[in-house]
Amino acid sequence: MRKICERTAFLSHITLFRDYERAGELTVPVKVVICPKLILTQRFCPEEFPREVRIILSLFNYEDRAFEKLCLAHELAGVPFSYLDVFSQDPFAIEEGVLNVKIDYLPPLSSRSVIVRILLEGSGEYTSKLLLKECFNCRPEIVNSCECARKI
Amino acid sequence: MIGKEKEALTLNCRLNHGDGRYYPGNEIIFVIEIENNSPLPARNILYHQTMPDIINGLEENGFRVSAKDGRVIQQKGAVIVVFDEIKGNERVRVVVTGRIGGKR
Repeated sequence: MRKICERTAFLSHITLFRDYERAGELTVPVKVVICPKLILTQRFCPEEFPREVRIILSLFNYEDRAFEKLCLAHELAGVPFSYLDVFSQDPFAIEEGVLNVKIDYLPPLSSRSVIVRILLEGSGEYTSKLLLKECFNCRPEIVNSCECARKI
Repeated sequence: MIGKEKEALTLNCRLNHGDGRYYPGNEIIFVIEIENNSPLPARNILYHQTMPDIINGLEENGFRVSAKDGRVIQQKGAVIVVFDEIKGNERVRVVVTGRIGGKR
């Protein structure tokens, strides 16, 4: 099992030759901290009305360890909009247009989804950004952290 | 300082992260000093450094290597520097820069 931010030592070997004969050697250990990985995805689903968009925000934990006290942040920029609905099993709050979802415990090999319905109040290109703002028990590496651009 | 050889030629290596701890994506700099402790010049010196898979080059050509008066040869996962001569009681410096990759 991979531990929290496991440290692994990798070795670089240095050899010095003088007139084709070995004249010195050195092994340099390099400690690399390998963080567990979380995957963030976003999926856009058009609704009945063209200005309505459903976005499915997902967080996947394929690691064999749990994560605690996570905070997901979803931000939309480019076009004025309003949140119509937010479906989440975890507590959430919308502050200054940013949706923050607090996930207390994310078990090993699990996923969490948040469904957001928004109403776009203008036209042009908008960007939907999903971030992991906090994680209490380690610093996971985010894979596929996405910023998606769409046009209305 | 990571290590020292008690020979006429001495090898020292320092890393840019004092604690020797890196995260994927970090730049890693090896500063290696080769010292000729003898008053006589040392000729035909070949420096050979192998890198573990997790340390990648910065550029397409490989690692960034600087070595005054040395000829640099890059091989896959290895850096070679050839010095024709290191003068007596002098030292030369080899600086190798790479990047920590994300895979094991």
